[in-house]
Amino acid sequence: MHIPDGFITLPLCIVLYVIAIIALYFSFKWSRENLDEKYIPLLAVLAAGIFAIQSFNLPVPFGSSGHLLGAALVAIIFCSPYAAIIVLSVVLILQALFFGDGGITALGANILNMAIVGGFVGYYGFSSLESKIGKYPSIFIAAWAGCFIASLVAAVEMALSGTFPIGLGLFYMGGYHAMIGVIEAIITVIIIKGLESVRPDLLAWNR
Amino acid sequence: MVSVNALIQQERISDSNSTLHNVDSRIKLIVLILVIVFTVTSTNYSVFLVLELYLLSLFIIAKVPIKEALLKVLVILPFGLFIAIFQPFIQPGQVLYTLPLGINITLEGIAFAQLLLSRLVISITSIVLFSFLTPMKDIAEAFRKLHMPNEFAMIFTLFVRFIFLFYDQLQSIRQAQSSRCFSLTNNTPYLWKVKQVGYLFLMMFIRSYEQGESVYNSMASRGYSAESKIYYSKEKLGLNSILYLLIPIIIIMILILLQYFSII
Repeated sequence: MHIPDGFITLPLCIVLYVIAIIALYFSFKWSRENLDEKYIPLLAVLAAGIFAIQSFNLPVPFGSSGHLLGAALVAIIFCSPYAAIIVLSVVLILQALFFGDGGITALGANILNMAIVGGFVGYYGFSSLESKIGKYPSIFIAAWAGCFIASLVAAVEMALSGTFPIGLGLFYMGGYHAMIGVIEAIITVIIIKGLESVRPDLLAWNR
Repeated sequence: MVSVNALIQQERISDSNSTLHNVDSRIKLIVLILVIVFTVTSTNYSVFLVLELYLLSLFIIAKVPIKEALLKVLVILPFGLFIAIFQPFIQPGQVLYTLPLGINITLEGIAFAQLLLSRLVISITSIVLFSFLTPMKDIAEAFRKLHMPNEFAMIFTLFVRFIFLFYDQLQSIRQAQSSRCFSLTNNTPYLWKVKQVGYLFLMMFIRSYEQGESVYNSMASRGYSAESKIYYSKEKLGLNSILYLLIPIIIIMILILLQYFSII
């Protein structure tokens, strides 16, 4: 899902960068207002943990593999998409600068897709479904949707740039990430269920 | 995603001492962005060739092992390559060949795939060069010197420091799992394996959260507060940094002029 350099037109890159910067501005504002001064070390070290977790590739059916994105996970644990935006953005910047995972000009797009869309869909999907279908089913669906919708947005961005037709892009990107999303959803549920039993204080809804 | 070996190799090569390794990290960052932005806005193959040759010459000057650099470029290419390979079949235009099932290969599609791949190769080469010249810890200082928000630079400093610790922890947990015959490829049920990986991630998550809290406590006991700022020395740019910035700017200006007068 990491869009490389040259696959998105420069005007679109600029627009997406502006969106990413605005989202980061509001995320830091949220952090200052809602977390105490320990938020900087906490989010930084958490981002390092997520970065390491992302290095673990899990085989998925049809011979492919995928890894945890973690946006929905962080957003649900902190009960805010803004925490996910900070953590994932830091991870994405390092991946782009040092490992070529996603382009430098496409960084705004990648932050929008994985951090912003992943975080917002993850958290608001969870909070809107929780009262209707219960905590863990809603976490499962929200984490899956966070991964799936992020991939659809990436497909739309590439279609707007004329790199990939919208129909095929939505089909291939959506199809692949619908599969990866199931793994994302299962692991997100396992982690949150585990936290609920061993460190419930880490979950924002228990504080 | 980034493997342990890639991380170790990147840190080992970037932690060398050469004229180019000693260039100010913010200058390296600016040049990286400049080269990539110029590349993705260009459609001229002579421009791509000149830029690639310039980047490769920097690899030689910095005494970075070319083989490892090329291998890293190849490892990064696949996703872009995958998208580019489809282009001849999906872009409308003059049909060159018609395959079974009505699939057409178009001239415009091949040209667009070539363009995407050329841009991609140069962008990735410049990222690999940057990563082999710049230790990860230097990037936070570069962010501060470029007047990015202090909180952002602070998060980056801590983030980079702890990546290696968590990679080590992840490795040791995986070794412990392997010693108990856990493998993702054996015949145990798939869901059970996913569950074990979930527990591994849970452990990593708790460790990173607790480490974050303990880092905060250590920092707070040494006087850290939300207003604390990262110290960086205000050194003047050396000749190597000035040249590292000026040479690509001059090359880009010459290329723009040559294109303007239709010489290339």
